[in-house]
Amino acid sequence: MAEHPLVTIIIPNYNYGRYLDECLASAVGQTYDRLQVIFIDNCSTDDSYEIAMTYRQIYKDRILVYRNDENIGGSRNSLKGNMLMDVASEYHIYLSSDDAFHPTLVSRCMDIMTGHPGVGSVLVHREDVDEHGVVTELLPFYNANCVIPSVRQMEVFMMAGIGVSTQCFRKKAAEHRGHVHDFKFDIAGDWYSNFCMATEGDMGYIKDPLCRYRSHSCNVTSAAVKDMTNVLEHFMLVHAFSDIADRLGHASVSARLPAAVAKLGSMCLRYASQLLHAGDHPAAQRYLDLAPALMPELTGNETWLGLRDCVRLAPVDCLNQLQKIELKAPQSRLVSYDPPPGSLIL
Amino acid sequence: MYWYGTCIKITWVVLAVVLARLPSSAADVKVTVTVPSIRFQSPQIVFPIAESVIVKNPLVTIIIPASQCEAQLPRCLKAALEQDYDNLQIWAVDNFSTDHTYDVLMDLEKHYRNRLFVARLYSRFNGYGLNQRILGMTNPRSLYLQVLQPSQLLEPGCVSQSLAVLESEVAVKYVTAHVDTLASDGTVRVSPSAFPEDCVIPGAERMLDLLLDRGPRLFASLYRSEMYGRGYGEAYVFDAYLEMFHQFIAASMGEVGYLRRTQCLVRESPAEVLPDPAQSMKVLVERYVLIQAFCTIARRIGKDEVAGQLPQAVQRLGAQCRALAARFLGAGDPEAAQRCEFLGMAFGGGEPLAPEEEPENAPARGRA
Repeated sequence: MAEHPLVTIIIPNYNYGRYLDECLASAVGQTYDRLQVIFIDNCSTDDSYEIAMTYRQIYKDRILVYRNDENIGGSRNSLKGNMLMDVASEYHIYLSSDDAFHPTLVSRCMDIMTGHPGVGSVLVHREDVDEHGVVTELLPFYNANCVIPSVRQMEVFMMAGIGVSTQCFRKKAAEHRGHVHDFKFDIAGDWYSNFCMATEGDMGYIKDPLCRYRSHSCNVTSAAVKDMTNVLEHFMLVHAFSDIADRLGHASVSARLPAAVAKLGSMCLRYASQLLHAGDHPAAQRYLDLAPALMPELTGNETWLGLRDCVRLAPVDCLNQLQKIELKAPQSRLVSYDPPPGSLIL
Repeated sequence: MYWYGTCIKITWVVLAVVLARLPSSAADVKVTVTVPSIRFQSPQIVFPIAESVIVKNPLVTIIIPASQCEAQLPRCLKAALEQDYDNLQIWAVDNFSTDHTYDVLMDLEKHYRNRLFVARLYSRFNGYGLNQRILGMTNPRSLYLQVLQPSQLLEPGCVSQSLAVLESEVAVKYVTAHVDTLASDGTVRVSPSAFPEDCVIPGAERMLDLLLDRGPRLFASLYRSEMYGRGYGEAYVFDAYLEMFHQFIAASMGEVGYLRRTQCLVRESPAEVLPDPAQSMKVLVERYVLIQAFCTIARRIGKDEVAGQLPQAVQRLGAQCRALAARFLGAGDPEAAQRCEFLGMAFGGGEPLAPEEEPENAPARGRA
């Protein structure tokens, strides 16, 4: 029997020493046999490096530990991980140093990769865990383990990002996607990179929550929510998708642009109601103004009119009124989708 | 035996290196080791001294992204090709045009083989992707760089005058020159100059102008090559505002030169008529994200006086949206008008735009 291909897990870290035991143990404890873990400490001020070194002493053949003399920023640190990878490694997976993998994650990903040579990346569903270790289960995006054809998946990405915390990449596809890399996105970086991967090959999806994603109470995106850059960056993002799809000749993808923009309009309503809950009425008002700019039909929409009334109410009345509206317009996704036609169910 | 000999050789080399590295005062100390002087003399390394690295006649590159512009292109190219500066390369790249753009370029290339370099892309790229590709093609030895649109006509002497400023003022990162408009009937519309004379503008001031969208909107700018494209290191990529983003980044690193004499004519775009509604939404949103990016960068480099102007900048953009909405309404496109109106409200609902403000701050130091 041929040997399994080498897989690299890249773990960039900055000051997550308190979660590191769980993370590193899950990485070195994978059931997959040919594995290399690369840990790069970005000049942490806590005991991260020492913890990593204790693992290094035990698992000398599995883990490499590096340390930067100065902090080089998150994105450059991740890139450094990519550069330090063994040239023989055809596959790589990023693991955030506050997250953890299920022991079978790598072997499950590799089953798809080796069984389906057209697959460029595999996305794995996640479960959330907060700082105190309380686990929240989430609905998977697709209701089956599947392989989705490239163009079908691009169409899906026009309408929605898939919020996973880890992806397994085939190196060939990851290197090749450079030719579409003409954009950069601050907030929606993952969504964009997943789209780019989908242009290079089919996408695998594992619906079992094999990755544990740490959610932190101080939300880094909250500033972006307040100044609307999240929605407006998404607006630029879907335009970029349509641009790339046009260049590659996938008219069915770019045809979804108007619908994608309109969907952003309805997302504005969600943000508005979130901000009303948080008591930030001016920001909510901005979203309510933005919504019909993206989706003109909204001016006759009940929810929109209702929320507009809420903004003018006093805080207590506002919350009461909000509850009535929200029953009709749920905040989050309530179903898992069927994989698009043409997908292979595993 | 072989190894023994090698070891001795290595020892001598190490000694020679150590001695060569001793500072001159220490070298005066009597050292009792005799060094075979012929074979192991410290090598005479001549470091390039300042004078020898000054390039007398630096290479300047003008890049021209060309797409669907067979009519405008010949005049634009001729004006660039006939600049009086001799060490000049012009890179014109046909961006997947379906008209005769490429043929026009090929005809001209025959006559200007030493100056004009033509390439063709077989898939259409937009602002950032296009620039990246052209930059990749150009000569890496080029010290100065200008991006020229096919609608721009350089005046004679433009390159050499901008270059003179960059060569004499080290702190100046790019030179921006006054631009007038060329109407479709061939008449030149003179625009008011931003400053009364040629001058050097402090970077922070130019950053403020770009943030608040005031001062000259049209510019012909010659950059130091290493300053152009610095913005790509940031987490942002812009399309319609690519040039503005470059200017902002370059201004954040030094000063900006300004030439008052008209150095370039820009053809009036035939669409003083209304732009495409979907396109204008895209541009307005990009402008908003650009403003946010400007402030993030300014804050990071400690220019709080620039970052503090964020609300005003957004307010101005809001007012621009509403002005555009009024134009759409006048043109009988209520849906586009409504979109722009709401976008304007989301951006702070500014009052309709006040008459064009003149740049408020005079340059801190002027230069004849």
